[in-house]
Formats: sequence, structure tokens, C-alpha cells
Amino acid sequence: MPRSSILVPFLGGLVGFLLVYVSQYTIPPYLAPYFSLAALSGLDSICGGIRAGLEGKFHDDIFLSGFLLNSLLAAFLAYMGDRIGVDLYMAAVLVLGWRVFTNLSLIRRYFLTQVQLSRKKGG
Amino acid sequence: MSVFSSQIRNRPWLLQITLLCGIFGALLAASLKTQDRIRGEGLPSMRPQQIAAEYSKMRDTVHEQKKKIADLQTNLTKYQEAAAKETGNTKLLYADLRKANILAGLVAVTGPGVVVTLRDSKKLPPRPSDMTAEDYAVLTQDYIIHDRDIQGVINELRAAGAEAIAVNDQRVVAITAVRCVGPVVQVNGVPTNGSPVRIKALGDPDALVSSMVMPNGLRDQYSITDSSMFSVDKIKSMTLPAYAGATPLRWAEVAPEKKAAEAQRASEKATEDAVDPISSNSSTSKKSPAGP
Repeated sequence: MPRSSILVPFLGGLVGFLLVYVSQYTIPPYLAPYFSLAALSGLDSICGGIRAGLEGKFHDDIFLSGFLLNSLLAAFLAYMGDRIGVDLYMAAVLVLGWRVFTNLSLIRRYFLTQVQLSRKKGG
Repeated sequence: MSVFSSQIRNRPWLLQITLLCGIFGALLAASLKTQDRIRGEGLPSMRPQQIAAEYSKMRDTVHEQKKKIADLQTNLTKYQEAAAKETGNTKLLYADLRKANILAGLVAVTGPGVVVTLRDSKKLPPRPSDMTAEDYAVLTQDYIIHDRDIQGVINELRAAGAEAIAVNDQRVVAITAVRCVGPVVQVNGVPTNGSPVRIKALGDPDALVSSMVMPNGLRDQYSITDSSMFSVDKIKSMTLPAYAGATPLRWAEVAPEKKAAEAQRASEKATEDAVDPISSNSSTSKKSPAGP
């Protein structure tokens, strides 16, 4: 069922979250903004990947390289922004956030049309 | 389990998405933990408003502590007085203690004296637009009161026999520093007006005034620039407040007798060296003889 296939990644996310949260490993505070940006870029890659997968256009090399490169670029922008005194990280935040919303709405549309189609078939 | 593998078969991307979700969850958790830790740690990450609130709280606390010190000092004096009334020995001790307190600035004192007023000159030339701030400061330094001006007045007053001195109502004691910080004069670390500066000195009014107005003395020196910068007035009776700060003695201790005697011999030798002529054919010595 389409709906349950969303559950698996979500569970995976939950497991990863809990594993790190309850452990005593912490990252040094000066790395914190970079990790946050990497998390945002990961979210964008996830939504993009789910959308591509639902459209049947998923390529794992695009997916993986997208995540890594976006994270690196976002971290680089944050670092350069600190050095030159301009909040460059905002560019990453804005773009990644916008893409998350776009992908999410495409996923939503896909599921709703699926539901409509299945209703039509059944009905 | 079979459901899972069937889903993987139908949707090969699901596994990688799940893995990435796991990584995302881990990154999110790491960021959350770090942010909590940063927020919990205190001052460096506080917002300016919180720092401002802390600052005014600290300032109020300092104000209270200073009042407390003044009250305790008053109580101490009262107890000393009460004890002195008891026996003759204590009376003598109390007389010594009172003198020490006055000289040390730990009690308020009253008596005649003078007040020397120093002010910035109104004749300050305006700053030409093409001059830098540093050059302007050098040009106008004679028109403005600096900490060395105040220190010079204090020195002269002491030489003339002042027994207690207060600058802008801050008692000058052995550990007092008078410093200029921009337009403000800090005495005992307390910021006061930079202009006018009122230096009150308790002592023989006539002796103090003549030390100020003697030829080529301080008054004449200020009149070269602007005579309104300096003025001295006799006061029939004034009260100088006690020193209100803390008096921690972390380094100095009373010296044992042997060391005290050595130091005394060294200071006597310095006096003799100053009085002896340095070369046999000079009739005047390079240093002025040390006073009593």
C-alpha cells in the first residue's frame, strides 16, 4: 500500500534519532551549525528522493551525490559567511527549505491522485 | 519481514531513503543536543538583553555592598569609641587608632581647608575639519583637565600639609588611583565628572592656599593657557567622606623587627646620599636635600 511505504523511512529516521540522542556522544559546539545545515540538506535529499522514487525516476548515484554535495556546499557557505561577515548560510536555508516544500507538495499530489485513481477503479 | 522485502522489490529506492532518514535523524539529534548544551552553558551565548539585565543586577548588588561597608565601618568606629571610654590604656590606643583611621581615610573627617576647582577651558579651539582626532587631542591637551593635573594638585596640597583629600567627594587613600577614562575621571574606580573637578583638602587654609598661588605655582601655570581652568577657595568647615571601598590586603604584611630596621637604615642612607655633594668642585648638589 502506498501509505505504508512512507512509514519505513520514518521509522528509520526515528531509530537514527534515538540512537544518537540517548548516547553520550556530542559534537563540539563550533561544528553545530554545519551539522544543522547537513540535517536540512539531508531532509531535502530525502524529500527529493521520495518524490523521484514515486515518479519512477530514482537514481541512487544522483541521490547520494546530491546529499553529499549539498551538505558540503551548505557547510562551505556557512563557513565563508562567517569569515566575510555576510549570512551566506541563509541562501542554503532558503533554497533547501523551498525545495523541501516543493517536493513535499509533489509527493502529496502523487498520493492524492493515486487515491483518486484507486477510487475511480474501485467505484 | 516479507512485507518489507516486497516493498523493497517494488520500490528499490526505499532502502536508501530509509538509510538516509536514519542519518538525518542522527544529525538532527546531534544538533538538538548541541544546541541544548550551548544554551545551558550561560554567558557567551546569552542575548544582549539578558546580559544587560545581569549587568544592572550586578550593579545594584555592588551598590548595596558599598552601603554595607560604610555601615560596618561606622559600627566599628562606634565600638572603638565605646571601648576607649573604658580604661586609660584603651584611651591611648584609641587615640592612636583614630589618628591612623583619619590618615588612612577610613573615617569621615571635618575641619577647615580649601577646595581647588579644575575645569576644562572654554577657550577650546574648534576642531578643523581636516584634522584627525589624535592630532586634535595633542593640540588641545593643554585646554583639558587630565589625571596628571589632578595628581599634581594633590601632590602640592600634600606638600603643604593637607591631612585629608577628596576628589569629587571620593576620599583619596593610600590605594587610590585617579585616572582619566574619556570624559570621566575615575577615583577609587568610581566614575565622576571630568569637568569641573573639585579637590577638597583639609588642613591649614592659609598654608594650602599659598602653596597653590605662589609665583610659578599651579595657578600661574594654568593662567598661561586659561586662568579660568584653576581656582582655589578657603572653606571654614567641611566634611570629607570616608573611603567607601573594600580594603583587601593580599600582599602587604607588617614587617618583623629585623626587616623593619634594615628598611629604616636604607632610607636613612638614601637621605645621606642626597645631601652629600656628588663631586668635590660643585657647590650645589644635584638633588635638593630631603625634607624632614
